[in-house]
Amino acid sequence: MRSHLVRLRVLALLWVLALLSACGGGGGGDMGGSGLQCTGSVGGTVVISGRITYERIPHRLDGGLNYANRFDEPARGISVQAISEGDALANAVTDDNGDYSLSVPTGTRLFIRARAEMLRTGTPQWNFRVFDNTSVGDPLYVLDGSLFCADAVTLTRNLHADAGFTSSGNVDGPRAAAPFAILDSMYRAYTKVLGVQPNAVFPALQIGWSPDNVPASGGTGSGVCASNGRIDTSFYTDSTLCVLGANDLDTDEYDDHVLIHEWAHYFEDQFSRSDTIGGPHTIEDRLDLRLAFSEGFGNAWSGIVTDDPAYRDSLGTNQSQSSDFDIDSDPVSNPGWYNEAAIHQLLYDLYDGGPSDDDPLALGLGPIYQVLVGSQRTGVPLTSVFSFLSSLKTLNPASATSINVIASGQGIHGTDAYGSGETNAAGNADVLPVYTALTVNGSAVTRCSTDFFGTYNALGNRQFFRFSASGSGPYSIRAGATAGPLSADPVIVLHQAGSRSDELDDGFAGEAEVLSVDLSTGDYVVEVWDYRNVTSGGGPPDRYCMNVSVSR
Amino acid sequence: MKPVIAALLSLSTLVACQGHSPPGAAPASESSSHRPGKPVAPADAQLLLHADTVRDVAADLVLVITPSSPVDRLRASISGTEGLELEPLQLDLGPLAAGEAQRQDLQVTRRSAGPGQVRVLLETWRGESHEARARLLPVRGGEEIAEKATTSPQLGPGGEAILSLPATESR
Repeated sequence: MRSHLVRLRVLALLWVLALLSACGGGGGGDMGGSGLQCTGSVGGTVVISGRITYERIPHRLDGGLNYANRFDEPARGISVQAISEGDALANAVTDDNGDYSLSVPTGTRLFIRARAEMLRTGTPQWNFRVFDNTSVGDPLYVLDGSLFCADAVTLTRNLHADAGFTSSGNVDGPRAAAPFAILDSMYRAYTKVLGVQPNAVFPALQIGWSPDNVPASGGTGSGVCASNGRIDTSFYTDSTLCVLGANDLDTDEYDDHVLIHEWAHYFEDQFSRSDTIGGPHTIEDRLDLRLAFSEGFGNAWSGIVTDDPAYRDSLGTNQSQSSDFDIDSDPVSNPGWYNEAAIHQLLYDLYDGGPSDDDPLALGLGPIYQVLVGSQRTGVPLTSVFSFLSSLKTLNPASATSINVIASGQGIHGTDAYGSGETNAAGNADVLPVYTALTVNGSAVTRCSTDFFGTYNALGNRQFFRFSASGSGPYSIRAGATAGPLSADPVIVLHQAGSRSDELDDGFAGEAEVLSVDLSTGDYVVEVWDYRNVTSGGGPPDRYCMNVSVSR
Repeated sequence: MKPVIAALLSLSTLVACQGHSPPGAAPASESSSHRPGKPVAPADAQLLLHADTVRDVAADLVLVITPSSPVDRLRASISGTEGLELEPLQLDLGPLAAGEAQRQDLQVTRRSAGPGQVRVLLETWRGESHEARARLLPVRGGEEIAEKATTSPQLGPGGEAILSLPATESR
């Protein structure tokens, strides 16, 4: 490992070499006050090539980051510029080895800049960049070399970004490698997609990272990633990924699986669909089916992209601890359609193959991708493991039996996109059926919102109903409290294929909500919950029962 | 949001502290937050503040409680849940002015690999109705994690804001 002192010596040596190679005569401006003089353009070009690398800190198998075994990695797919007098004279992109090549006029005074950016226009297309969300203007991170003169036919300039840590995990310099390590995780993710969709167009993704991004609430600022760095945790929303960088608390720049998990949410948002309601979650929780699938998919995706099921999230003093789990083989607590671990294991089992495969299927990514960008994106049912499996079996009928076997092994038994026939109630009868069928102008159906597994995003907080509108026109969806000591305070939301109505919540506890809406012919999903089981401070969570009906 | 296996997350939650009515006292009739005018049943007299999941890191924790309106007495009962054990703590605070923050160091006795939470139960007396904000802050060396001072951005070609990192350069 290079020490900080050695790095300083190298920089000093490079500086001396740069001065020694200075071209004589005037012509160039005095950029940066360096005093370096070049001849200025005298005709001809100079080819400048080199390699951009960054320092990667691997994980220890027993937890935490392994600073003693750091190694250099190529910065792949990175934008490189020749900067002269404040302008970008030439641009290049690094290849899979981190190599670049560009040409500038002979006699130019310049330096090489590697941008924390992956940019490609045309088809395929992508645009990923890492910025500092805690600095004014959200600046893009760039890695700058030293000033030199283009005074030979060919020149080599290699740039390396140090991690900025000692071998024991103490910060000893700028953490220049972090933005490039993050981008390399993005690179792994999008190239995996290109393997099954070579013409993919990836909408822009901004990634906010800073050493000041801490696991604390109280974020301020108008951007997605708090400008004071209080981002709570690494997360994705609105085409932006915010990444923790808090030394001795939780850094995520070397946590491939964490970064790719969040990229999975970007993928859901831009390529597929997720109806998740978000919120706190653990791999043991019994969760709302939408959240369970989204997070299970994120975990599985991190294993699929890396072909490594060992999920590792380093944290703690000197990043010496980890939250680790094996996506493929760890025993699942509370398996079922509501558990993210059951779902990540299921998805990974559907994907993986080879000698270590412990299940009867090895579909690879293609069939999974087709479902995610197909009916999972456009279907009426809420996005869940049921909607995913139903479509997967339809598109791969020869594998349907094996898919059912693997799903059943995770406590998932529903037979269609609505989870019909599901028998796993997690020990609480209120959670089944997954969806309750309503008949237009039929009798009201009683279901109960329960806080048995927690609040806001826990299994059973929200009840789901489905109905078919056989004709266009006005409809009324009603949710009222049942008789009893605990008067429900219903809230209604109507869904159709990814579109979602505003929450209807006009009445007090004990009063019915009636959603009046003009509908087109088609299938719809109604979501109903009790206000107190979802909204903190609204009152005591409990089991509240409601009668739900639809009429025309 | 990345899955939480064992982690430390701070919280900032606005909670309506409905009066904890002593026997014989009239229950509070309205909550003070979220939905003004919403009738609240007597069972709402106490509200439980659920902390976000607490993450397992080396930081200590400080609880900060800030009432939004003056309060004579406020009792905070604090405990940890699975994954994060705290010395059970009951604080009798007050009188407090609006916005007057009360800080309390929390003694974490054990963290496990599982998820953890901090539960904070806020109670008032005399049927008072209040809002209070409770936050958990990670601290290092007794000091809250410092927030970064802002500086003007460096501008690159085209006026793009950039932040230049030092490179080790070779030829």
